[in-house]
Amino acid sequence: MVAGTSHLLVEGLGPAFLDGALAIWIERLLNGLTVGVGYVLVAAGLSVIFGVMHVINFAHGELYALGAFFALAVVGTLTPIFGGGIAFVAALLIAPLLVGLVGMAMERFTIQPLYGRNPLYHILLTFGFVIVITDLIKIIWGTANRPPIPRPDVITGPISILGTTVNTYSLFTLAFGGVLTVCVWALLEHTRFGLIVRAGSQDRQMIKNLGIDIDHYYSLVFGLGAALAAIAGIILAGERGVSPGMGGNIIIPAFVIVVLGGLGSFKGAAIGGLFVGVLEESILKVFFSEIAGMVIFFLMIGVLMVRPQGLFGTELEEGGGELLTGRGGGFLADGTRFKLGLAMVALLAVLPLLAGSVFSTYYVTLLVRILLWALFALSLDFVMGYTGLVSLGHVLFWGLGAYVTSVVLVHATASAFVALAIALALGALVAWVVGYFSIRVHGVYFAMITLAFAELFYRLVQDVDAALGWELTGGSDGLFGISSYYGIGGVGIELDEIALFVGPFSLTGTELFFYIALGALVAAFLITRRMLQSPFGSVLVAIRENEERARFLGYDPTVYKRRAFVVSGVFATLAGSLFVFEQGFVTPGSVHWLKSGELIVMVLLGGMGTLFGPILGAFAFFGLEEALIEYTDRWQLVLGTIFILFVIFLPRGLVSLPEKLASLVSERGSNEPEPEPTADIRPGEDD
Amino acid sequence: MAGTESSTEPESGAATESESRAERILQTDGLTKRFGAFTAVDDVDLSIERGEFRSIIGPNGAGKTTLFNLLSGALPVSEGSIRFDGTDITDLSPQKRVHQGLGRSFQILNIFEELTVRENVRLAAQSVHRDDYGFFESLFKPTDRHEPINARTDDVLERIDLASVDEEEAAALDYGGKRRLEIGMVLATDPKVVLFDEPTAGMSIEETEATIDLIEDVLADQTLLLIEHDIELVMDLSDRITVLNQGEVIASGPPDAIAADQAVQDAYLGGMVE
Repeated sequence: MVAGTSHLLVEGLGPAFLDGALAIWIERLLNGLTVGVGYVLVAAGLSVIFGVMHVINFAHGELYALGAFFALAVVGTLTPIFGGGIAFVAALLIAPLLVGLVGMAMERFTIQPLYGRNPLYHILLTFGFVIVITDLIKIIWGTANRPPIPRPDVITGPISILGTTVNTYSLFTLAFGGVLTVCVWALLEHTRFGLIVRAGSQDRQMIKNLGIDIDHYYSLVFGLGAALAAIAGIILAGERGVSPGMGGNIIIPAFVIVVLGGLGSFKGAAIGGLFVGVLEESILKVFFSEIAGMVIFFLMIGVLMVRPQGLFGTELEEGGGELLTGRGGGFLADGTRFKLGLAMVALLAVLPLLAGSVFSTYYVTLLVRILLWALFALSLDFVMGYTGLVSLGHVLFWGLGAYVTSVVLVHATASAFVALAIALALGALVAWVVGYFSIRVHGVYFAMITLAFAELFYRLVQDVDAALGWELTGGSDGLFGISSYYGIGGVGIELDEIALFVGPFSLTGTELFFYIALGALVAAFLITRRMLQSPFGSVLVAIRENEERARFLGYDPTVYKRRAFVVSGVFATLAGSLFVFEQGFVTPGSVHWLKSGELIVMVLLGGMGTLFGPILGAFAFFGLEEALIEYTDRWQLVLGTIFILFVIFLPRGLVSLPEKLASLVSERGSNEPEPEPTADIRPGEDD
Repeated sequence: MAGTESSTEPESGAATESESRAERILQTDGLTKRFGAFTAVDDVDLSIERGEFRSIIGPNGAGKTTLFNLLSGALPVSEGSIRFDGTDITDLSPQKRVHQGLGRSFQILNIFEELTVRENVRLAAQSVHRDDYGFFESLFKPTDRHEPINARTDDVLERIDLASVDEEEAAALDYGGKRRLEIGMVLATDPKVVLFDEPTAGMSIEETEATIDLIEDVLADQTLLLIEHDIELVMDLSDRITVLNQGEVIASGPPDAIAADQAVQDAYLGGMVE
């Protein structure tokens, strides 16, 4: 392969380049393979965990980062005693063990109670761990980036092989990672442990019936996956340094690899990891650096469409329980709820009048943010809660709304109406296209393909300027100082230039915009609610209840889901667009996948499948942030923990809380008529 | 324990009636379904006449449900073709077959458990009228204001005798009630041919009789294709019977001829008596 390539180069460039060209290619290939080995170790654990337990572990990147930080701690402690070389080796042994234990504890205490539920809840749970572990790392080790972990001299520096100079650490990485991968493969394929694990992934109940404690094995598998991720983290930390963001950076490529190779396939992860490593480092970054980031997502989308089970995977049957909606929460009659909602809107409408006197205007800004996120959460609930489509890439539409609006305002016209109209039209179009390609795949594959589309857009807004050669989206900085007026053709008003007087109060700027945001949210709520009462909406509900039955009544589920997706996409685009009118800027951060995760957090926090639940969720999310940030910068740790508890104990969200409490109270109540407790029955013990 | 005595009773009246209006509504030609090396349905030629009551019987694993899955579009065919009411529907999606007038019920009870009884039937009725509404009507006009759908729903609820419990959750019905609801849902889609997969499975004797009466009553005009394991039931009701064994048709004809058929005796009836 290398020889052939160099031959071509010889003809084109002359004999003098032979040695140089060959050396460069070997170096490039080695770079790619080194990165690839790291990918293999991360992806292998991710894939095996999915294959065996059907859990998509979003926290896998954080376990990888945790490996690097534990190694940092071990090296820091042991270097004064044994010197850097031995400390590195010790870290390579101890840190993965520790991370493995963390993984086992995660599985045992949080994931295990969720088996049998829809796989969405594993995604949500592990997303909660992403938030928690990231914050823990920042608390313990700070937010600064650290230099590479010192490593033994033997595997440091260049070495000359076959006339070319290569990095010994790369060779060590390749050898160590290669041997480790083969060992794990052998463990899974040729031992009793592997046999039980593989059998357990086929039929969990059957294995239990054989008298084998499969839960125990699940914990071990999770621990093994975590340890592999930790090793990858340490190896890469020896080359590139350690940073709190390293987990978030690796998880997306790891998903790409696992999808390419096939969810659940160890072989697929191994081959996919090396392939993506070489593709990225040796080819794309060298020759197509402008679009390097986008190519792998095209690959991912293509594979998911043509062969969702990946190159080496086997198709997973639809499994797990259903999504737990907050409907039937039964708290308050419809009429009461309507009045309560009306009262809430009225209360909100009064708030800006008091800004500046009773409380700071900052809270108006905060409320606007909450209202827009509530609108965004409502849009997701419409597809997730009512049609069962778990979109992990909904930030795509928010980002689309924000970017299209910004680009139109900056480059074409400052008319908010025109920008909004163009954004909504494009939002509908993109939602239809993404829906067309995504809805044909189900379950986790749908989640993955929407994630891929969102990441593709995330790369696009950063790379498009370089590819075009002129500024469209502002690259990785984004666009700032965007102003707009409410009108068309140069005739209109700017909110900052007018003031509205209501009795003794005056409203201007953000306070006026508050009413636009509130109006948009209320309108979106009423429109979607009306839709759900219409023939269209009734079919959506039917599809979620029983897709097969709906099909045999003559409804095409794909068509209905796609329409729902478009409705949802348009409202999400609206939220993103309004965000720009208020904030006056947009950055790639608006399209980051973490935002999709936070959005799902809000929907679940409030209670999905209710429309008003997610609105509640948005208020709870930001309210919590606001309350916690007074005391600590690391409020996400608390939020993440609360979220994890919600996923486990209150999956139907806040809206189900009254019912849950009521049932607890009535249990108490039914206990009360009993005679006074005798000595051996203490109250509360049977809870 | 199949009553062979009752099965030998002549059903000549029904048979001649179906012959008099001999028009094929559903026809298969060499219909075959393979799962790997296993052939579940093997070269089946069916010819159902309009208005006919046809039963498909056969021992467990004979391919009856697979045959239904092919007819209704739940599974793609390996070979052969299906013609329905003059058009080839072999490659049509399940929902399009429903629109053409091919309704089905399931062996495993298949209703919207968490919706009300009324909503279950209403969804089926809405399917018939799905093209009668414009964009805004279908998207924004509440379902309770679509009169033709509601009228059809009321009518069906009356006929399946569930009008009094129409606002209850379907899950709250007893087993027989759920079966009736399912039959009502099929009825509400206004089918020309109805495929029934063991509609009385798991029912008590009283429920079975009531359900059969209901089928005969409300679906008398339709062409019926019924999978059953209760041979007695089939003998009394059917115009013609097709017997499947290991995916192949081993006999097809009027009930008395089937009861007398030696191959059927060997493959099926003999086994049942054991």
